[in-house]
Amino acid sequence: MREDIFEKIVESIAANTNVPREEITINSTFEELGLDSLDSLLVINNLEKAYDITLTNENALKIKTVQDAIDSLEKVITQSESYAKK
Amino acid sequence: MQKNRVVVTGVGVISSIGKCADEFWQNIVNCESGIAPIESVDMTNVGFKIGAEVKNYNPLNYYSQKQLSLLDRFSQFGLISAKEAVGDAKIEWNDDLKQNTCVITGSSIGGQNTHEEAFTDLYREGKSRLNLFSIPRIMPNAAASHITMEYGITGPTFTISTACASSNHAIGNAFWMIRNGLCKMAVTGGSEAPITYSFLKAWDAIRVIAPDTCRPFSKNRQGMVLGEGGAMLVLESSESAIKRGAKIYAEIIGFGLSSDASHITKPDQRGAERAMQTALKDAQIAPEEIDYINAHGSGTIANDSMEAGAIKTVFGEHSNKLAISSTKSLHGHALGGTSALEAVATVMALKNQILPPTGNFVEKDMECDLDVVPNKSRSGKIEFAMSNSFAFGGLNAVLVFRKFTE
Repeated sequence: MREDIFEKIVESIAANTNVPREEITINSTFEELGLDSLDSLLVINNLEKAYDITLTNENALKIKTVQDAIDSLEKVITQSESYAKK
Repeated sequence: MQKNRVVVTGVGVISSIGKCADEFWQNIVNCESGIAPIESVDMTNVGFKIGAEVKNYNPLNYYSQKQLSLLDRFSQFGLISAKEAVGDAKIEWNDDLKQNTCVITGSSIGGQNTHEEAFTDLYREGKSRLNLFSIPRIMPNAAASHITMEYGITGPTFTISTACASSNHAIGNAFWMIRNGLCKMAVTGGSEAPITYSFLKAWDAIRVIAPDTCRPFSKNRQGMVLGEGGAMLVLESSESAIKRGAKIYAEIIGFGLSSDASHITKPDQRGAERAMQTALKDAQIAPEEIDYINAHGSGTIANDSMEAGAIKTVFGEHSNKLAISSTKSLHGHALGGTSALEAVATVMALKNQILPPTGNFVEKDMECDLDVVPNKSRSGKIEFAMSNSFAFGGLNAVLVFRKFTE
């Protein structure tokens, strides 16, 4: 799951910014990658679409690193999957 | 060249806090907010639920069915507020005046409701033919054109679209037209009707709408709240107004504009500063003379701290003596129409010598450490007032008003 989310983050950043894929690591901050607030939200909104989930503004605006994004996404995806199983 | 003094002799408003200018002003004085759960759109799949809608609005109370076929909701609001302003100013039209009157309006998005109906017909219903009037209803200049046709006004008429600063740009241009003697009378302001499903979803995506309410300059503010409505002002020279015995609300004395040239959504404090400084220069007054600022105060985290910082830079020590408020906390953010609502609030403040409040204020944010007139209007001596508008796209427009004395 976490690898899959990471791969989608890399895809989204590479597709929407000038950052080369190989520069993106799990420890990258969005700021280090040169992403401003809009670029960051674009990546997060793309991940929402990919997984058909919704992050609250409060959670989305807290995401500042690739690691944050993976953690937040994993949590919401797991919740929506357990909800779906019920 | 001799320049005219420019005065406001008529105002009209339709908004979430009043369907006429007096009701709008009374609700500002009483700090009554029009923000509530949105009722006209199914909000199930929208991340936020609130807005500042014009409540209990029935267009058939204002227009015939035939007239409505040509009027998107934003044009309805524009024309309603223009008719109130023109009636309030008691203009007696003649051919010369009609040719020498300008109509300058602001709208960010034009006929959004009509757009949405067209897309629904096309993509959901699979219809092959759209409403004949889609184009004339959607165009952002429709409201201005309907105002000209209502009165037979044949002078310069156009519409400015600069997002949230549209109607300040419109009023400022009308002010300059009268000041420089290019027109005798102006009907100017703006209107917007942005509460449609697709448009709300677009705002949802950009994540700047507050889930609770609009709390400008307050700690823990969570964003802006969309509103709708329209406001228009009648402008003319002081000479003309005095000659015909018109009621004078206030004088407009300065207009300043700037562009951030920085970021498409993130405001740059230097752009806001330059707009305020050029408005003061145009008004030929010192910063220390301003008593009240009707702030842009959108309630977003980025805007309000930027604006407070810009005010501190431009006004220095005097920023501690100024009263600053955001009436968006009450009437919501009506995008291209919002500065016109705020211009009316500002001229009413000057006329009545009452400082409008910032509603929904909870706790001071040290980044916005100014007197924001929290939650309660109060009497105050206001000789000079400023109204700020800072749009997405980094386009800034600032007006300076003065209490009128002959």
